[in-house]
Amino acid sequence: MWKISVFFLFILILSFTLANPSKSKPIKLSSSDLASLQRGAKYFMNYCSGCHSLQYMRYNRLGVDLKIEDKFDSSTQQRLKDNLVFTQAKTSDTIKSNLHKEESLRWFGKPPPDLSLSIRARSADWVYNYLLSFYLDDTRPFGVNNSFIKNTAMPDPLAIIRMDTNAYHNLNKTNDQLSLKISNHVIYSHSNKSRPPTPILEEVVTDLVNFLTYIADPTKNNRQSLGKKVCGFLLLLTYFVYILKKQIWGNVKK
Amino acid sequence: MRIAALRRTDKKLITKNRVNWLSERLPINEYIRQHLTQYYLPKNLNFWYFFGFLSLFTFFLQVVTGIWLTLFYTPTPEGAFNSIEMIMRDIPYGWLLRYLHSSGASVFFILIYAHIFRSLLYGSYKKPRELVWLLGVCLYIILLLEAFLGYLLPWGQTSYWASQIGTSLLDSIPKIGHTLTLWIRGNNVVAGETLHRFFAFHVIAIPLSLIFIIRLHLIALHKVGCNNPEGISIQTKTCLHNKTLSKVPFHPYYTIKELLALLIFLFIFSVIVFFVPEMHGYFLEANNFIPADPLLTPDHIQPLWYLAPFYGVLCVIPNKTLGILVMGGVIFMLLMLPWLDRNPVRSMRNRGYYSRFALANFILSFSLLSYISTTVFTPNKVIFVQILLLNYFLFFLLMPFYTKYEKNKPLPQSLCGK
Repeated sequence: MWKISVFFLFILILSFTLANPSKSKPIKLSSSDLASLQRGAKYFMNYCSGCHSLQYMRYNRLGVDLKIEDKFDSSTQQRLKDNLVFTQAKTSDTIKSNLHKEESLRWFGKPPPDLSLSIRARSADWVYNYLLSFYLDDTRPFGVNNSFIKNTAMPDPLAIIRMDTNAYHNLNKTNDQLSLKISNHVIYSHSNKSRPPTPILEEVVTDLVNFLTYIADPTKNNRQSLGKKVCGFLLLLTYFVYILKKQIWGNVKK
Repeated sequence: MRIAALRRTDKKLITKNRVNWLSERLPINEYIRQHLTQYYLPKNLNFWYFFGFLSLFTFFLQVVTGIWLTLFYTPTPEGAFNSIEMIMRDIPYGWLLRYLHSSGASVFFILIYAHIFRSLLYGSYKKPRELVWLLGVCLYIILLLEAFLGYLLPWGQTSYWASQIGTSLLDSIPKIGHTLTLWIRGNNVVAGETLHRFFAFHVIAIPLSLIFIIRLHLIALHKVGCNNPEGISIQTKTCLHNKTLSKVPFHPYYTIKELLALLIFLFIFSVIVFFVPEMHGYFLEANNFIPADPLLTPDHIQPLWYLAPFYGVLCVIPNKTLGILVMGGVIFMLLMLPWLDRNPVRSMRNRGYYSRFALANFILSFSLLSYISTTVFTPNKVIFVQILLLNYFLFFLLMPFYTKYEKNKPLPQSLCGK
């Protein structure tokens, strides 16, 4: 009876662990994919950090975790500074944007939210779908709208990549002219052979979301590797205590 | 050689003297005898009996991790959310302490529910253990309060609005309601003052009263002795006809079993803490990762799962005052249980089918009530929850009748020779 119940409890917890309720297009993430995280950091600093801050994350923590900086080698600090710190911040500072609150209010109608916990507050799927759902719309102040969150205040931060790859999906027929312009733009940009090949939009967004997922929960890998050791130790101890229990209860008749 | 041996015996003597010195002044030996080595328990206690000890363990775990968290936590609206993120990121192993504490709260309630279910299953609330049951229900109520107060401390959106709703309940008490709400909140809305007093109550006042009542709960239990799955009273320590024991001393028999149970529990608990601390929004809600904003009410205020049944009751009763009365009734019924049950047999093993069916129905109703209350309410769900609530009350209100007229099985004479 007792063994069956424990087994069922375990199955219950396992099913909770594996069940992942999601309604939108799912995203495949890998928190151990260091290259993806590093690319994500690059994209974030290039496309997002102008407006959005990561107020709970420090540059040096990011550097050490993503193996850009070595904790014991101060010369690597410069590598972090050169590649990811675009403001006057020190590497021990948290990642803050230089956008003034008043200006952001005037431009967007509300200050851009901090993104440290965006994945935990929404979900990785939410952010992924949101970033992929921009389309051209003349009626909006920035010329783009979002089909996932209607009339969003944010302009499309990845517009350059989208234009280069012609990845805007046109929802309205009135946008034909604009898309024509974009296709011209595409021809122009590709004629310049010295440019590196433009990345595919889905991959950029996946890397970005992967990076933001790491930012939302930076201790996750550490936690899970420690967890395996703790659980293993407990199982071993349980086995020995079980043998001891058998010994002690052996002389009690049923 | 001889000198060394002498020194060794000297040392032994000194330690013995010190132990003697202490035991002459403190009743250590008596205590160990009374509560461990000569405290006898029925030998057939099964795994349902370990949840009491596991709850006690979790309580102390909460106290210890809680003390650590208060070292870094700032109970102000400006600092609360930030200090928790600081604990999670900048403080070495801060995340472990925080997850132990936050998952610990939910796990505590799972253990408590299993513990209560055990009492219902084997009739541990019946004479002579009524007081043990009453103290236990008091502990459950205080624990709900403790969890509610602690839930405001992260100062996230869900914390803030759940507390806003929770404290506004008092407002509908006639005459004194408004003053009382103002007094509890320290402000017209939930604000910094509320956070300060909730913090004080969560870390000092309520845990102190919990320790006191847990002690009473245990004293009362050790006075009347432990029930057993057969639900029969065992007076003698041995059975005469085949000289086998029906009771065994707590130590070493149950200490080793409790240790085994503790390790299995810790394994499951570690899986939660290290791999799914959020439990997909049941233990830590997504909305609570957004700092509290008094100007922005969320679309759907999702209560924590252990507060959900009470929140659900309020949602499905159209009149607010009536809703609060029904919510009080839900708990009052638990207190009345020992006097509603008129069946002389304790354990469900020996009871008739009416009681078994009623208990199954009760458990199912309460679980469904809790589950549905964590989701968004629709008109259909409201009716369904009302039916479940009716089921809950019928379990108690019909109990005097079905327990009186059901057909019981014959009771076993002893625990021996099976």
